[in-house]
Amino acid sequence: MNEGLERLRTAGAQIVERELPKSFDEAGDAHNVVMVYEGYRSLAWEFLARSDQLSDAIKEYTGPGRDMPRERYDWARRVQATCRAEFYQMFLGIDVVLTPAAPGEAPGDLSFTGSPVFNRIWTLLGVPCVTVPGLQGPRGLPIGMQAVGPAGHAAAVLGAAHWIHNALTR
Amino acid sequence: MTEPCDMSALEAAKAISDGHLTSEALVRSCLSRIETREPEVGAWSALDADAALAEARLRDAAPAAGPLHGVPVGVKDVIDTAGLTTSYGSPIYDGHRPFADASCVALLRAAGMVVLGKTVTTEFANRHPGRTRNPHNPAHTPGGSSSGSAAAVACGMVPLGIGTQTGGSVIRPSAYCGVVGFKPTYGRVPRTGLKFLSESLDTIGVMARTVPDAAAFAAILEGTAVTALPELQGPPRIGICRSPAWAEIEREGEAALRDASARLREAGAIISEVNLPRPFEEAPNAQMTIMAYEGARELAAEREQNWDQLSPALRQSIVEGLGISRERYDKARSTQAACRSSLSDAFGRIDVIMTPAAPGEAPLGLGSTGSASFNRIWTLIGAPCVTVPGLSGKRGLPVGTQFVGLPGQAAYTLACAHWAHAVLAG
Repeated sequence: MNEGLERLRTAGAQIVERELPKSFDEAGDAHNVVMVYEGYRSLAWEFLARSDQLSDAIKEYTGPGRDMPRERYDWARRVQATCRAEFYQMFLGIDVVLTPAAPGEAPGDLSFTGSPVFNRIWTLLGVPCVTVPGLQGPRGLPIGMQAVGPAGHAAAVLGAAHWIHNALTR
Repeated sequence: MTEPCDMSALEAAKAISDGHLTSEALVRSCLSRIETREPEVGAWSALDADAALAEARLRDAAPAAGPLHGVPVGVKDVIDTAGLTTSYGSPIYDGHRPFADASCVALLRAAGMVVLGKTVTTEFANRHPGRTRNPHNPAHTPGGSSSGSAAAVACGMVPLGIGTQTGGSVIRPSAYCGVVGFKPTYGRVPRTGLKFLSESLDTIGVMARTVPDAAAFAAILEGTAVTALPELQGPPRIGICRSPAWAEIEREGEAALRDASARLREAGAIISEVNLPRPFEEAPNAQMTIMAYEGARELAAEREQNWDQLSPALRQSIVEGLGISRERYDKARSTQAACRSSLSDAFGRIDVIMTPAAPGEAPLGLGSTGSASFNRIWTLIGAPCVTVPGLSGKRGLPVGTQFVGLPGQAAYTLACAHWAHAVLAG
């Protein structure tokens, strides 16, 4: 990340640090609740008629959605709406938010596809995200940088990501 | 004595759990009603009596899995059912048998309910009608697009039906057929296994003969706990909304709304007029724009590969949808958001909105299923809507009265509608 920022600064980008609005403290939890509650309902037939063919991983993660109270889901949807409404505040004076696309290089383990911790809040918001390559980690594996913009402004985010991609791979 | 097929769903479930009735006997009673009425009404697109009876016997052998254990349902044919023909109202899908149940169907089976069969839909839940006739008068449309579910519930073929609404497709046919229709808040009933017409609008809802039946069934489809309707603290404060569609009201619709207000006021309701906030002026257009734009894209495969098997009406909708710019679509979505967030302004001094469910009685003829004008703005904002029967028009056909609440407050809206149903049908 630091190396990426250095290259972007050299290429002329103005870089500032921004904090997420306070409501985002609950965004990770809210994402998890929405995904588990809706996930069970999306896979209702598979859980109810074919559960012997589901992996332990999905049973452990999504299965608890069955008995999750609707009040908890409603709470998560309210957090989602608040975060969406407040996200715009971050864009005063900046064009795009830059953030890691993942914690680091791809993990050396096929039983786990990696952590979504740097992605879930943006998915919760429904905002456009672009990851671009150009950086590498100590094992020679790619590291992505992620550009995030306000909802409905995908073209601007893609434009910024294109510029960042060029600056990183120059 | 009441035939089992004419009982309400909750009554039938209670009789089953008390040992006075079996699911098999209930299903047989429904099948016998279907045999009598189906030639005229044409509500079913697929029916497998042996499979339904076998499922009923399984329920009779098992402990109760929910408050509607053993009760059969009709499923609108835009919703997948494992092994049972699912044609989406289109010849393109003749004989199509999905591998899996839609989520809402899986959830109702898990709650001990029985899939009786598939009910007729208009083509992809759009405009081109199916063969269903209004059970009150076969010369009239049953309304659509959930035509078969509404007609089947109305004439006792089944106590409960599943419908879907993108414009007015649960509320309008329910009103025309004289049953209770409930469209929950947008996003509540999972849609996996539904053939989409418009992802931002499509809402799965239910038809029943009582409001508590509709509420319990919807909770099961939602995969959440079934609870009793909340107790009202007295007669509700009702805001009459003439809605942006008022120019389309027919004499019967206007008279029914007047009649309903007078009777509800007499029963103690506090009635006032409600004006919708300003963004609602654009709501009808926004709904039509979103439906046409998304519809043309949801049906991309059929449009590319089966153009000549689409009806002229659907082709016209698709051409319109493809002609809408993304800017115009984005503007319609902004209107949708603005209407959603401003609706609570209209609820300052009222508990629920009362508004026509349709312009009037079911139109004569089967060529059109009627107008969605009195429904589309509520679908746009995802608000819970309930229509209740009890009134009728000049030709003796049912006229529905619609109650609308704030998104997320369906339970309270249902309680108000239940109160009003008792008054209007009393």
